[in-house]
Amino acid sequence: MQSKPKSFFDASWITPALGFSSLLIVVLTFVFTFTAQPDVQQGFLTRILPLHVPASWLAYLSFGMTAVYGLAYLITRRNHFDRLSASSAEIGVVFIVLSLFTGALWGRPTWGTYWQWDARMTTTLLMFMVYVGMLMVRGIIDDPARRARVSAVIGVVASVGVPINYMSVYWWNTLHQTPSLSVAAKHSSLANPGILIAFLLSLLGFTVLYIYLLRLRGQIALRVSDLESEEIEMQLGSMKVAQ
Amino acid sequence: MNPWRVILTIAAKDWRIEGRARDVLTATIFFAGLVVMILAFAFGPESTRLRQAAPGVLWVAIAFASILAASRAFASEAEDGALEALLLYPVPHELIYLGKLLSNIGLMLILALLVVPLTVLLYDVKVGEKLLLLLLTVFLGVIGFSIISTFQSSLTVNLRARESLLPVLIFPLVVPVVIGAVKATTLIVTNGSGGEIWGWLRLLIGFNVVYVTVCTLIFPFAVES
Repeated sequence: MQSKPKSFFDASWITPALGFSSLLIVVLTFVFTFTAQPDVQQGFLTRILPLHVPASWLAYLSFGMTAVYGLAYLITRRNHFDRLSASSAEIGVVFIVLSLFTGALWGRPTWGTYWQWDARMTTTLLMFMVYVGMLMVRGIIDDPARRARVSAVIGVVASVGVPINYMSVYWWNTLHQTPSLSVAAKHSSLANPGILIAFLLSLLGFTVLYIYLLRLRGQIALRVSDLESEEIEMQLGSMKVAQ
Repeated sequence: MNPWRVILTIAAKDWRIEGRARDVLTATIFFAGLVVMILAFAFGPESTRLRQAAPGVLWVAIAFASILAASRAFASEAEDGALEALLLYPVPHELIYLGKLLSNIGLMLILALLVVPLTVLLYDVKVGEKLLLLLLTVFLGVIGFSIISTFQSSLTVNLRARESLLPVLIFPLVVPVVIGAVKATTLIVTNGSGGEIWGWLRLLIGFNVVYVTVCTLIFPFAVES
């Protein structure tokens, strides 16, 4: 068993508290989303935005953090960072699927097609494949130290795709529109206030959800690795008895 | 020590092995030729359709061959602890990656110089006066493939199921190269505008610069044992 340093962040109530707050914010988001006036141009379709955009944001955040934790592992060699890196990649894969799915649902009535090979969608699909590949490699390597090192290296190299994906709508003439809300350009295509509040709330809620899921997944990963090392110790012990 | 000499020495070592054993080139050239021919059967004998498909076929053949070569790139190193010996050389590991990369680029360029004329002949492509531009596209595209495939190959040395794992690791990353190279080649053979061709070549150059930097810097972590 690893000795765990006790600090404020180790307190056992934090994880459930994060879970409840994300649930609360998501419920609030739903309320605002479904009470908002329909958009002038898009009508009810705009109601998928508070789900689609935060899901994409969460995928970016997860993949970015996968690289950050991966790099932290390579520098410090603490297994803690490897678990967080892998957990973050898993969360990213889940939310990038959600993003692709909600995007397709929105694309059908708006663009007339579920899928188009434009730069944003293609790079999103590629990011999904890269991280599934990373998780597959993790499944194949048995030696924990090597698994951690290889997956951290893949995570760092793969993260190059994240800014490319984000910038793709500016660099190429894509079907996918540029961001709906930009603080720098003082631009917002979320005309009515209800949907804007839902959008911002949802961004916050998903971010809290990410921290919650990361902690939860990290704790599970810790238990799994404890179990693995216990099994090894038991095998070693029985070998000693046999001798 | 002069870094260029280190890189060249490592590449020369690989080329010498390849010159004697012809392990990589025989298999990959034959394979790329097969891909070109099989796709010719698939797209049928109609010559306009073949001409349209040619750029895609060319790059699919090169991409597949590149993955095949990647699984061999560190094969000679995997035997008898040769990789450990190579890593023991008193040179930065970054240079070892660049040396392996150079050797891989060399082999892939030889392959490309055979596959390009084959595709041009079999698919009845009119290259015209833009031959130099086509060669530049091939050059940049091959480098892009090599950067990713050499790196991922180093990561999976000695791994079971590496042959099936490599494509999963390589393909999603090199798709931008495939897209850029296919678009540029299509524009070249259909006499497209120079500005548009340049736009796609710029994508290839940008990709190569970014990934060669990232891969070189992170390579020491990929091979430590």
